[in-house]
Amino acid sequence: MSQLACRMLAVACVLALGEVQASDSRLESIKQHALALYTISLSDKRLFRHNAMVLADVARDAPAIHDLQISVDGRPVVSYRYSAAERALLAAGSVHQLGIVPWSAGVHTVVVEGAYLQPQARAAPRLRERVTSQQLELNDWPQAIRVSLVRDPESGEPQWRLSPHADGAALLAASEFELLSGHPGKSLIILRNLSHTDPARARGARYSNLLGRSLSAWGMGEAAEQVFADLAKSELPARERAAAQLQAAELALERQVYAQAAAYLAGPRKGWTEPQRRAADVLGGRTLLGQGKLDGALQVLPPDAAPVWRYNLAAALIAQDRAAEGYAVLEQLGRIRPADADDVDMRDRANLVLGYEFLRNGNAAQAKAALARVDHGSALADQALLAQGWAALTLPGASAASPDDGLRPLFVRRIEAALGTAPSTTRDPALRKALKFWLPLLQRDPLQPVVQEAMAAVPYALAVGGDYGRARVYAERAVARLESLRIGLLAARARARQGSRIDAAQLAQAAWPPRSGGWADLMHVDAWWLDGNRTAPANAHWARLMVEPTALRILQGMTVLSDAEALAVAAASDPDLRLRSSQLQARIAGERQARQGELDRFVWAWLQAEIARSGRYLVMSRMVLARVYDRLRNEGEPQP
Amino acid sequence: MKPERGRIALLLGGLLALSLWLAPLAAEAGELGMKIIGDDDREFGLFIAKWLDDRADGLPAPGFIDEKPDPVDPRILRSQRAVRQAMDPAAAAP
Repeated sequence: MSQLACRMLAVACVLALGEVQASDSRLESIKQHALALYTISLSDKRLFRHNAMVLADVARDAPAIHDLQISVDGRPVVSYRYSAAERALLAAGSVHQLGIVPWSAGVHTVVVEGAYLQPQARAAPRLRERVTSQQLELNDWPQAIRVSLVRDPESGEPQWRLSPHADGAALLAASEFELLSGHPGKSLIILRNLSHTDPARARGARYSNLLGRSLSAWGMGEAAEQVFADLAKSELPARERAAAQLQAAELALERQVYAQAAAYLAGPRKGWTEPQRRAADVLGGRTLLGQGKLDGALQVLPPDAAPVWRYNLAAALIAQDRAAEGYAVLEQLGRIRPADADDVDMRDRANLVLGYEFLRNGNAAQAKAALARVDHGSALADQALLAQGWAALTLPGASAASPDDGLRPLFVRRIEAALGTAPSTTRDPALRKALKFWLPLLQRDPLQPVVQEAMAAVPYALAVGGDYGRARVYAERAVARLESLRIGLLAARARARQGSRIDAAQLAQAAWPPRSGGWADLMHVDAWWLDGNRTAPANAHWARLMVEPTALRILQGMTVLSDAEALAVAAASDPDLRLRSSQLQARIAGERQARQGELDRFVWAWLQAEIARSGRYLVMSRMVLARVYDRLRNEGEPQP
Repeated sequence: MKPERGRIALLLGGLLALSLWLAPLAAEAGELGMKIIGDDDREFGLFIAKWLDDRADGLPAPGFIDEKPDPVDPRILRSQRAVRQAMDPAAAAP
């Protein structure tokens, strides 16, 4: 039975991998078709005959735009509200392409209504509104309405200024705006427009750079790599060529084409800056790591740079039974001074892994020191709290292991063996310290594995310490909470089976890319677990589900499909391309369904795993509770 | 993808879809409160059975969680961080 299950699992894994690769190649094909179709439609120069681009920007000395509504001849054509990140981009000189609107030949009345944020001394900015109306006739190509928030030179008051023109520089700035806002597909569309409206500028280094970055962000790594490889061979100054070479090597590494990455990095580094040389060393080390040449990677990857890759090197060493070298790398990583959020994450991850390794070896003091280095605000803080509790329970001389039950890590068995025999003078303070770390976890979302373990560990530890009264309270609470969670998860699985699902296309359209605080309403779940009468609500698991790499990949894919659809729809304005566009749109619709199906299957399997794990902890909590009841009954206490 | 590989993938995909379709029914049939399925869970069942049989004074300890280093992809890490920040109500704009 077990062998059969293993074989089935292996077949399922191969199929899943094949499915991912097949869906990726389908997506790649759709993207290429959409871009090709759109390019053909542009080359016919038919797209802009009856349309006009609408662009917005802010003068350097003007306040930030809050929102904007534009109407042409009394018909609303644009309505947009800017996020804080977008306002910052506009303030830095970016241009926003709000869209392409219908525009016939002749004079039209354009009305711009919008609010801006007037900075106030010692107070939050105040919202002020302005309206401008102007007669416009578009004679230049490409046809464009440019709306700028400027300061009136005489009065100093902010006002909207309308101009009937957009040059290549504005389009480059608009492309950068989209790329930095997380919309690489839109950035590519603008660059395609630019290549037809200003071919001279489209031969420049800035255009190529933006094109490469946009293609890479849109998941067209190979095409992006080619752009940078061409740039590296151009007549640019050495530094700019070096930057392109490094980008090409990075993209080759992402595609896992290590020989190609090495080829980009080979050759003299004359005229390179010191940071570029260091970046090349890191890329060289990553190449060796990818090729499995760990000794070379150990030598080349600088100890004080690229913590992510040093961490991956440590993982590879440990996986190849070179644990001492691997943990030595983690020791270095655990003490770095982080330069950015990636570094903080790697430092915390290294310390968490080290903490557990020290616990496995019975070295509580070193475990505590490593775990204390995990940042309190990090995503790994709860994992560290749990491990700190186990470290606090590890008493000196805790070397005798209890019989191997085949499941629990060695350190837990050691702790259990030590606590079972330790005198109360040493056991009780250890227990109090452990509870100091574990009790805060009981206030957190019980869907987290570490919270489930803490729910079972607290009554376990109290019972081992002889405090059966409190052990009963916490065990009853754990059983009730885990049962509520289980009911909620079973209901979620039933809903997933009945087709009531997370609509990935809708979510990607409405909420991707994720903006700081932008999903707060969507994913908000109150602390239902603190109310003993409630079960987990329908969306209780979304927050954890949405950080799973598979869910993220599917959402990103859905966003790309939306971008490709926009290109296909735009190309359909050319009568000659209408049929091909509708065929492409049908393919996009089919791919959307396939991706949604993949997400549905993933959600079901994920819920299944969550149900299995929380079920284990529920069983364990019930067993602890039963043993506590048993002990209390023997001591003569009344039982429920 | 070549056409013959596509057909094989379609056939295997059909088999997978059939097994996925049947799996919920199988799981539901065995779900009497605490039925746990799967290989790993069979071991857990043995652990429970052993605990019930040996009548030792020791309590079952949790401790299934054990941190081992796995390679990380910085792009996924950044996406996850962005999603966590997006879910943070404190970061929501007024």
